[in-house]
Amino acid sequence: MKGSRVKIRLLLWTLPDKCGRMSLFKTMEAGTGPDRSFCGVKKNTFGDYLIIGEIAIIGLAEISHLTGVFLKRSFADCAMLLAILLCALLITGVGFLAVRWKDIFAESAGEPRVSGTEKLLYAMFALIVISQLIFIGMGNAIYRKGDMTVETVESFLTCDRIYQVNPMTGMPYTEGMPSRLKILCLPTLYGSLCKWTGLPPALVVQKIVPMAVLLGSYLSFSLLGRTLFAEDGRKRACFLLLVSLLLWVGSYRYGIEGFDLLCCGWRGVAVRGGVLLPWLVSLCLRRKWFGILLCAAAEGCIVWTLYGCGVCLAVAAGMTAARIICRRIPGMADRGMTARAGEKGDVK
Amino acid sequence: MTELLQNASLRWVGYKGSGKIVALLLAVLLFWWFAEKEKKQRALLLYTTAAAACCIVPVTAALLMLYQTKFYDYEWIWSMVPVTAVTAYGLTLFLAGHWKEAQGNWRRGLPVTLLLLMAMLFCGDLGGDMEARAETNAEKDEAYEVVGMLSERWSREDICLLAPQRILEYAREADGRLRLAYGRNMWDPWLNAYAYDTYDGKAEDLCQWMAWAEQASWIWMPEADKEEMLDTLEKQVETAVEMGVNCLLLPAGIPSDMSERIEKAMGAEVQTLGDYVAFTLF
Repeated sequence: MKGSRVKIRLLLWTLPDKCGRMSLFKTMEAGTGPDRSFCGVKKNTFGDYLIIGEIAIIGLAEISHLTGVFLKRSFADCAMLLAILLCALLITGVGFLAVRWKDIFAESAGEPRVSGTEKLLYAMFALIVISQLIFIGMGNAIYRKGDMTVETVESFLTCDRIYQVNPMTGMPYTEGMPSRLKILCLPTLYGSLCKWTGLPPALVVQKIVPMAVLLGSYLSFSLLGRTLFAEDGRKRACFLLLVSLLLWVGSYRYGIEGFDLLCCGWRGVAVRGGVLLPWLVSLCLRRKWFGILLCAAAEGCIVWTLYGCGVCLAVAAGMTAARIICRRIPGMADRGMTARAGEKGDVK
Repeated sequence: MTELLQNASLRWVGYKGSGKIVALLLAVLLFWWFAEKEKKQRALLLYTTAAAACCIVPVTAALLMLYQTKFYDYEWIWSMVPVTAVTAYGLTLFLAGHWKEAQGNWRRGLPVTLLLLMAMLFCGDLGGDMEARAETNAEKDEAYEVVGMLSERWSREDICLLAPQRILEYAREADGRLRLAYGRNMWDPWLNAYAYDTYDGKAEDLCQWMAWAEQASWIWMPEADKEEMLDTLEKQVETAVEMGVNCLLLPAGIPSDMSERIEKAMGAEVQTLGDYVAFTLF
């Protein structure tokens, strides 16, 4: 009993760390042997799977949203469809984890013990995260300028139709709305949450969703930390602590990551900046291209990129260009990068 | 293009002026380029430096704003720079190097760490404008309370509401069943991007008249505004009814003669609703 308690406590201390675990140490090296899956792509960590799950939720919400928009189905039908799809996703996810349990968690067993300093840093990090969750829960700094998500969700629930009335007035549209905007799925996702739970849209959109997005953001940053400091748990803990402090510090102005996450975390741009982009940077450093495509697709479903390609693809292109330049210019390449490139035979 | 260039250069001044998180990023980049001995993750370093430079230089910033098709503000081109991640990474490297030099000695390591944390905290605005936030929250609470009373008293009616701005601001958020003569997009122009629908001159005049009518409950209002408001009272009430309004809400403090004229013009009876009076057609 005592032993299991100690194990649970250790698991809690190292949770942000374990999320990025699986086989990153190996994937940072040459991609050979057991590190490569059947299609030649390097293995994902458990944290990666969690974020892929989040993106899958966005994808399923998009499907049910488009069903409502183009097939003119009622909002109740869309919420039901989303519930069925999410159940299927949950079953698939649990099945996948059950089958690949050993693969995913194999290395956790041989993990070095968490040092006292790390525990202290994680404790401070946890306190800051809790304070941020309380801040969001209090709802004293909600920023809704230029945003009508709550009104949109209210109009979906009231009319039981998607975009049949102008959310600003509740009157039918006279001229319509931009089609690129019409296909964004977050209002349907939030509306479905309201439908299932019976909670008011303002509570779900302005408090519950931003809390979930904030936690998702820390998951992304923890994966990035694991990529940047694969060998040093103390630095990873310090990195996460500094990220949490920087989010507090950056809560002074619209457009800064901290502000977006703490004051308007339900918006697509907050999900992009807090969850997708840190993960994308980590994927770029690990050269996991499929995940990058997933990020770009998710951005297209939640952010009004107008008719442009969005930020995720631009960042991925920039990171790839920087990587190529670093590889070409003597003295710019990391030791690890040169070794990997050398193995592939593209750098002499 | 000239407008974009001007916008890019002016907004950069505003962007760096309101807080210092970008200054912190630039300091970290300088440390990473020149002081850090083991330069790992150079691709990230190079990318962040280039992206930050592109956001600062007006020409490239204008091009990036063109890439996001001019709809989004200058702030949003900074989404391309991993500000938080790179700043945290650079600071971690700095602290790790410092503690390594201090060889785990708390007396040597702690002061610099605390100084760095203090510097970080001063890069923000230390809680922001608490008074403005409290005022906004009080307005929100008031609006929710009034809308709640309205919905409760006439729960079976299909209400089309005309009310002061501070009530309409939250009306559709508090109760999605309410319809409005005009919505929040009347005074928040960014919201107009979400629909092709526009307001005609009548709706704008009505909005202006409502602002004056609300002021009539105050101790003082400019004489010229008061005259125009009273001169156009019947006309504006008729316009409101034409637009479908069946519930007009005004502060309880409006003069009684004004209240009587509205009752007559609208053909409705006045009823008290908390600190407000409601003229209803049902």
